[in-house]
Amino acid sequence: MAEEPAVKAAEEIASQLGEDRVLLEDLDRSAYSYDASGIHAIPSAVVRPSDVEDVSFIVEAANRYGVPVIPRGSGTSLVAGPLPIEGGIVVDMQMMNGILDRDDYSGLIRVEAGVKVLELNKVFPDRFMPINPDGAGFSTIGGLIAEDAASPLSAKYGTMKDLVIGVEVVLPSGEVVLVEQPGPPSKWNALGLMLGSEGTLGIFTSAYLRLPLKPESRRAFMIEFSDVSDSITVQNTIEKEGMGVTGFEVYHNYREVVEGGGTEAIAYLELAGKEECVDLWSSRLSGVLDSMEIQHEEADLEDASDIWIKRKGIYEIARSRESAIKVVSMRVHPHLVRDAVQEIDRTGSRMKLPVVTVFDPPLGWVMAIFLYDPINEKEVERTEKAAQNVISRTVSLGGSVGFGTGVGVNRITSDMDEGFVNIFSKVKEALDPNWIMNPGKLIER
Amino acid sequence: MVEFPEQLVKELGRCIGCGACNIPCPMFHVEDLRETEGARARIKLLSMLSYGKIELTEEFLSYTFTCMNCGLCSNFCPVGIDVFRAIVGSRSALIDMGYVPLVTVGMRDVRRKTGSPIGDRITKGVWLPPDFQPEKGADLLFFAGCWVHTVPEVALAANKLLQKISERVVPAGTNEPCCGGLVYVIGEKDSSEESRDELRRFLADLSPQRVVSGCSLCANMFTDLGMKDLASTIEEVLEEGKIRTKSLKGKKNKVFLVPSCRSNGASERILRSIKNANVLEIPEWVCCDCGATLIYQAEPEKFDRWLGNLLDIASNMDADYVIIEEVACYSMIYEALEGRNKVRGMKIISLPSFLLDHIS
Repeated sequence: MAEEPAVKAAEEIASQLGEDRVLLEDLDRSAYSYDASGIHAIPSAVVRPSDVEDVSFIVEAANRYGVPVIPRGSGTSLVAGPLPIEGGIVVDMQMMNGILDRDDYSGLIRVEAGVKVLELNKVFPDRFMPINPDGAGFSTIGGLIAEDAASPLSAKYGTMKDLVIGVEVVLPSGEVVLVEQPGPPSKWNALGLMLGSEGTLGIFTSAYLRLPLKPESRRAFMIEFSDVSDSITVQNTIEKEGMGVTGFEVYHNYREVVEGGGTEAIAYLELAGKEECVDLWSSRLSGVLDSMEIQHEEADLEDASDIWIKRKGIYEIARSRESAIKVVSMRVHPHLVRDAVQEIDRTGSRMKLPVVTVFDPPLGWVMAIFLYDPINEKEVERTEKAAQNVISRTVSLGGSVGFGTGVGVNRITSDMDEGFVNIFSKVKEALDPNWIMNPGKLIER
Repeated sequence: MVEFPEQLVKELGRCIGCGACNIPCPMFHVEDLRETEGARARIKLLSMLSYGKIELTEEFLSYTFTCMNCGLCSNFCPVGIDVFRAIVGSRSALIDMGYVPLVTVGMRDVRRKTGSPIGDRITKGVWLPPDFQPEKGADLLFFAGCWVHTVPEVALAANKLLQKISERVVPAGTNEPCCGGLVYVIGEKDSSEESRDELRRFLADLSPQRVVSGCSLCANMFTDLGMKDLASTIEEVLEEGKIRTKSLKGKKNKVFLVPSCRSNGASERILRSIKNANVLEIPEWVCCDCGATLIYQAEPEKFDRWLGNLLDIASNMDADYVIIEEVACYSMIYEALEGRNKVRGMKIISLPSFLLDHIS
């Protein structure tokens, strides 16, 4: 049964936006109760704005009734970002999907928040969106900015915040603010405060991005590591010699889990840049790998793209055993990657769950992927325990949770990062004194 | 509580919720990207139903049974769930448990009485001589498919087209059984098997060299029947060089193809081989075949929105022709447009009729 204030707020919103834009039926509300996190939370209502004025009206009304508002893009979050875990009204941003402005020469593009990666990638044939976490391109730009999403190509192009020049945001009061600089960011600005705030400070309604150019030349390698520490040595060499690496991702336990046995880890590494440079770096990289007696071969560029863009490696893990998967995303200092991998392995053994660890040495990005049987209740329970265990072990190693996916319901506590929680809580109180914006995410009240 | 078979519960539970299956989902796009209408919601809500997290209501039952039945969702799942098969399997399981929505009861009854789930709206073989009986051992048997009987001109065009590739084309005639494809997608597996058995016996009795199906749902969903869809057949003969395409004359050359949902791409390749034809790029979710019948009959306003959306896209692309591969789809659109074959300056035409003029 929907909460009374939420229903009243929804009715007021319906009178402004139109009844077809407010969903109150059980079937519709249930359809907005999930994302890719495996968590369920049913909203009291779902509202579907078509422009910034609609969003402003929705937020202002919800604030007046003290009802939480939860922005939602395509619902591809791994951390329950768009789920109303404390109840409230879900704001479905998908109808705001217009390309507002574009400049073919500079790659600058202004889009509404509900535009999807696959739509954006159709705009400039020579440029591309290097961040595509769901593989299919279904995620919205607003969601990716809110969670500061990453991809294996973040090694070169940065995370989502590095592609954003400006955002239009509706604050919890309903006020619309343009957080944007006329030129490239050159001084302290407010963008850093908003990007990656996971919908807890406001709702992004449009964004101004610069899409990078596709590189002139690319060459990819498939590497077999018998010891994951070697991948860190390779990364150190890459850094010392200034090689242009676009992506470097290692799959620990992949052969064991997917193929039933084999090398400890496989990896894809891509070099990109001017052709002469790529030739030089390739030959140098091969030399380094040969000297370390690490087996490697040149990989098909399509295969490499499938890994970076379509996230084929991760999906292959779930496909191989016809299992469900639970992904926990973290970041550690690169020299601690091996320790993180060991912690994840230990957790998998203790909880009797197959686990593949995917990590990106240039970023120190580590993703534990646990496989479980969705109809085995005990196994589902053990998977949740495994996820929580991995998070606490990573924090004790000095790592952080939520890199690339957002923190969401895992929440950062004072034990993890006292300074952040202190400052962010004060900012939150100032902008959202009623805590209506996506409560229960990122930090605790 | 609804108890689905264990394997089905597991398959539904494997969904990682990425939403990739919504990308080609026609209902999701036509209903303004509303999550409820997409393939992901169907899988997720069925999974929630199997865990008792939501109740089975009349509304939910009807929802489970009505989509375009295109099956494109299965091609997009990154973790290998056959999304469409899981939806169809859930429908079957619900029917087995006695939860049957009225619309499927209607189709089942009509099939029992007439041999076809749409038997109440067709007169088979009106395009054939009154005393027509198919001869046995034909070189090419033309299995028209149920819907084609509502548009005799398309049946005739397809028959003539096939005569260009074989001297002995024999239509299956008025006793042509339904292949069971439509009742299969609505979860009536027993009824579907009965139909297929009947069709097998029918084909065995006529023992043709080969069978070409006007209904691509039948040919491509039940490959064991040994039928080939019309476009694949034409493409094969084009490749052999026995026939060739003719150039599309005039400046009006922009072609918007509505392929069969089970197309292997043959229809598009044929059109691209026609000189001067400018075949437009279509969105991932544009396709249609006999599987759309349920929504056409149960929720005609949704079908109309789908059609309106399709025509908007074609019109915005300045299409001169909207070519519909599937005869069932063409029949439904023909009826929905009340027999008009020209809309907003675009000619609405079936693939067999178009090819008849552009193949020699």
